[in-house]
Amino acid sequence: MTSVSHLKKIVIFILTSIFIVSCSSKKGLIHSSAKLSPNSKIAVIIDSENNIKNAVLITFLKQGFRVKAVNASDLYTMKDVYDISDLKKLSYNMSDDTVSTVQKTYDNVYKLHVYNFELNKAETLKQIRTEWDVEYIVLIDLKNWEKVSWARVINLRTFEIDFIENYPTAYNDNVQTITEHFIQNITGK
Amino acid sequence: MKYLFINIVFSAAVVLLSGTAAYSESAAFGFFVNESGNESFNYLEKILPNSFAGTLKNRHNFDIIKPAQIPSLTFEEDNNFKTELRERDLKNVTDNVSADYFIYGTFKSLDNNRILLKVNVYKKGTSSVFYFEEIGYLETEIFKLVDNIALQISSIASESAIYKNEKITPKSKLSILTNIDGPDLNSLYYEFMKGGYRLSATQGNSLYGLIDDEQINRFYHISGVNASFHRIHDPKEIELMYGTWSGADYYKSITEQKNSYDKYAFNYIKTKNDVLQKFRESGTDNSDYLIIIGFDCGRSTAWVRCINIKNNKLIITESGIKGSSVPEITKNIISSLTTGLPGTK
Repeated sequence: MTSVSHLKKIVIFILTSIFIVSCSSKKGLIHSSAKLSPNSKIAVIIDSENNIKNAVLITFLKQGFRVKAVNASDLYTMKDVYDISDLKKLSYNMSDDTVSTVQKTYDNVYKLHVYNFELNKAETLKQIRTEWDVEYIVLIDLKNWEKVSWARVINLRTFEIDFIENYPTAYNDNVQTITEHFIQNITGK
Repeated sequence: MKYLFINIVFSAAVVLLSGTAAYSESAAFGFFVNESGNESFNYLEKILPNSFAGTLKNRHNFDIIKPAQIPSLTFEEDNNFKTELRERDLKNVTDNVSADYFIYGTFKSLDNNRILLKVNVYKKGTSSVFYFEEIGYLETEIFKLVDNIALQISSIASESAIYKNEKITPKSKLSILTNIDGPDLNSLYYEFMKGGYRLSATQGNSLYGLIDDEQINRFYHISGVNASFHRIHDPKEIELMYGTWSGADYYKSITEQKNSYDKYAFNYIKTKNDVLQKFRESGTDNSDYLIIIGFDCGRSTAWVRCINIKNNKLIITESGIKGSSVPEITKNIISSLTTGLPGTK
């Protein structure tokens, strides 16, 4: 065997490895700790145009879910109201300083800010459960073909994640088929 | 072309073999200061570091320097130097010490023949210190304590800077903070859920992640009530001058700044304890552990830090966890969380 054919094999091996790694990041996965009953009281969180949001909610309603008007009561999407990425740059990015104590202070303020932020979110979830009578939060992110759509279900009684799925969007998928796919796996029916 | 191929193979072999080359870490020891208030324990000030050094040399292949071999330490022994070794002095103290790490600490006798050891591991040339505590028994059990501490030191004084004092068993409830989101976060959750862990909705309750690749590194240093990996801070670095010349407004501003440094730098552990206390008492989340995972930009390595939320103890740190993807790195992280230190069961 010549060295040229060896080199060809090496190149093919490297290209194959890159292909496998890139494919693995788009691999579908699913895990469910508990199935949801189709008449559960849910809040669907989705950051899309309102016509798409409606299409998703209709699919849940058709299946018998009692969809609460959380996130569906807004006329604007999240991105219309404020840009999260701009906000975090303004809030968190402080200039680096060579003085160790100052850097330590910056870091610790940021850490406490994150802890408090998560605590506030947990309090909000508690309110959504008690005041809106929501049992589950369903987060959905819809993506186009060749990308990964994903869903997550949070049980507001235990504050635990009950369901996760990554679904590589197929060529012939649309909003309804992806939502139906998620509902099927969330309910197990 | 033939030579090109041979060159490639040879280069690959060199790269692979260089990773397996034997290298001994080196550590220098300072004294362990008696804080018992009882002079009858003074003999341990030299015995403890010498015992750690001996065990590190014999069992963990370290090149070691004992306290007596460091002129600055022995020279000033009678000059109260031992009790005044402060973190801000470490750079100067270790200037002429030819070792990768400098280890020193204190001890205090407790009731029932027990002893509390506080150990500091300083990597020379850095501005960080790893600190941890161990409690053990004196007399016949002292050998076991020395072995445990030497093992902890050898793990901390390694490229991965591993510290462990508790394993995380499946069915525990975990709150995870990390710098990935969306499907990547799902794939991380997937590995934990598959392993039987319960996951808190912390961070997972958002569509988007708020912590980016740079910001997660603010969590790289971490503190618990029993151990910490922290930046060396020096109150003298902060110049908050005032006097009779300063007006009331200026004095108020300076006082506010001083309070900020007290709260967030010098007494941070107390501030953090208060926040965790709120977390525990809120009734919204009853997680057992807070796990912070920092991925690098290429998602090829990660570091992990773990705090027991119930008692605010730092229980695990490890850096440089490798893998070809988020799921593979996560599997390696779970493996680290569920096993003891390298070389133990």
